[in-house]
Amino acid sequence: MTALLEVSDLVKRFAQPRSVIDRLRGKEASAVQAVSGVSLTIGANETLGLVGESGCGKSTVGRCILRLEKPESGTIRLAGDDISSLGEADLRPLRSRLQVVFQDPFASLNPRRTVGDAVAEPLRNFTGLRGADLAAEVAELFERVGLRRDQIGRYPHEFSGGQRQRVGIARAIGPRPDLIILDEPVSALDVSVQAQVINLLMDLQEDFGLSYLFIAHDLAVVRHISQRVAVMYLGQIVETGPRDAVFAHPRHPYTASLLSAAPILDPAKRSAAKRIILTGDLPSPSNPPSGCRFHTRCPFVQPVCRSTAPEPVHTGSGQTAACHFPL
Amino acid sequence: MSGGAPLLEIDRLSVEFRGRDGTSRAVDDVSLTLHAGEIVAIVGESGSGKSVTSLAVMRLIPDPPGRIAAGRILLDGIDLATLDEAALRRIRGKDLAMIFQDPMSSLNPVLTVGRQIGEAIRLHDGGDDTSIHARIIEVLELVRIPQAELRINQYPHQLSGGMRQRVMIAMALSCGPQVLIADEPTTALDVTIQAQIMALLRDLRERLGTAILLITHDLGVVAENADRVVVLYGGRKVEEGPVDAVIRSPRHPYTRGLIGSMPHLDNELVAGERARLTEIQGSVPANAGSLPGCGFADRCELADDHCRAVRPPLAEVVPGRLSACWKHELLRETGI
Repeated sequence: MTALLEVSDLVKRFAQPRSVIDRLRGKEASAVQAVSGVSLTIGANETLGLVGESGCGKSTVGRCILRLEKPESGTIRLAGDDISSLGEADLRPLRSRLQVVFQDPFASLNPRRTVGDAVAEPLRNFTGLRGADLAAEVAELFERVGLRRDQIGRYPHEFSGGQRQRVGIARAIGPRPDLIILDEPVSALDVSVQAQVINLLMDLQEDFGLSYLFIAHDLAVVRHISQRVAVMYLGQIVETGPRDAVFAHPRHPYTASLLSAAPILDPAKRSAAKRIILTGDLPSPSNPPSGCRFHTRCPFVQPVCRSTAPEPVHTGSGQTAACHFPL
Repeated sequence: MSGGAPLLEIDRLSVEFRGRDGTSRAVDDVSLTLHAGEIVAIVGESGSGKSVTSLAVMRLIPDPPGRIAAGRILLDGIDLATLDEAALRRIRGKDLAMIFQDPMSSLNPVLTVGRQIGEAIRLHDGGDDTSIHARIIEVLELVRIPQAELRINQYPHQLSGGMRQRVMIAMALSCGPQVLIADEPTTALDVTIQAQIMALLRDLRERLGTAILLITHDLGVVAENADRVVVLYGGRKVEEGPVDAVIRSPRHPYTRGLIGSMPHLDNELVAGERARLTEIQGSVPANAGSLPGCGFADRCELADDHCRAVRPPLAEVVPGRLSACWKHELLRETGI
């Protein structure tokens, strides 16, 4: 099976700014390795949930796939073609196949242009639609995402957060992409509106045969929308697998602790005994711990974890975990 | 629920804001009580009035444009709503303290952590530098900040998000308040840090008997940490009761909708299939508070003309549980 998207050994560094004095002294620029060798695949019509805490590099992975960032090394194949080192001109046709929805729909819409304009722009760029046909398509898209036709001429400030996110989604599906990167698309929304947007995304996926990379910090949201899950910690994927397997039997201690930290609603299903509360904070990505990057916070740490980085191992039922002692 | 007189009693509080388009009521006739050692959660979405309620208790509503239009806020029998600024200053930070959502914007970036925590101690309790220093170290250790002697001289930017929130909590606890208001204390934090901070708050309640008013939009946080919950919608209280009972069988359609629309880890999913979430149609209307009938009627599938015309009273539907819904009987047997 060839996957729609295949990312292997992706590395992205960001140079850290040097002070004037350090420059004069000729000190080397240090770099933060935001993504350190990430590999993942997404099949056609599939949703991969990419979960992790802030600063783990999950958004950078998304931005590299979109080629909003140029990766340091590694390959990104979209339907077999390597797009990791394409130049600007060659990237342009790619943009219609790869779309994105960001977290803050207000920041990603131009306040001086109507929302209809925002939705029409990618259509104008990537399709031959003009004039009445274009207007008809925009109207169609508005209805498809649950907005009214008479709202086309309005400006972003006239919409609520949920409606703006619908505009962002209409804009993304317009050019009929193969893959949409959803970067925390519902985390800025109220709970009741969040449910509407998640349901809409699932419906659109079925109707248009879309694939999603769903980037989020909220495990419960990821569990609802994804078929497969990848968990990131400090620039690396520590566990991947089918949703049901990962949530029922997490193999990596980090996944297990993330799951046990998430609040459980039903008091009958809550048991304080199983809970792992991690101590300490996320270490700085500019100076990651030696060996297994999770060893400073891992409740099951052994001496080997401090010295040797674990390779991902298959742990059955399609899961892999990068741990010396998978659970 | 503990017996005796409540530490904090909000009695029929209304808060109004004047704007160009007239006056709008952000909080309308909200009452609640908080006893010593109790954690009461106020839950609601944006615009529900939960933050305005907490700011009103601290008397931090900017006036103008806002004002407390009616009601009393009794802290140990003293009505905060009528106190003058000088009297308020003696209470704020001493008997009543607050922690905010975003510790980065609530800490002063150019003062050390120790200096900021020491400010309230110096103001309320006084003492010489040595005793204040000792007290700062004590509260930093109370909120389990390691290497307190080192941290005391650091600036906020040198701390992680979780550490900053601990500093905020240390500051709030520095003068031993009876009541702590926590406004979305974990919203800006990652889930593993959120678990640490909530465990800390519960622990402080156990050790110090502090009463905590927890303001949040996250029902999961409420379920695990609070004793009682008050659900606000459009500035009004729509439901109140013990947390487990409310979550197991909500008696207001809005509460039921909130629970249903929230993806959580313990709901059943069919293996390999994705489950649609229950939606609450539409969004909170801006004028929910000024509608003649029930503010939720437009989004409620049970609503009829009577609901839209006549505002449902907040009534005791089961002993210890309140709901403002004409149809609460219909919800009796439906759980999550």
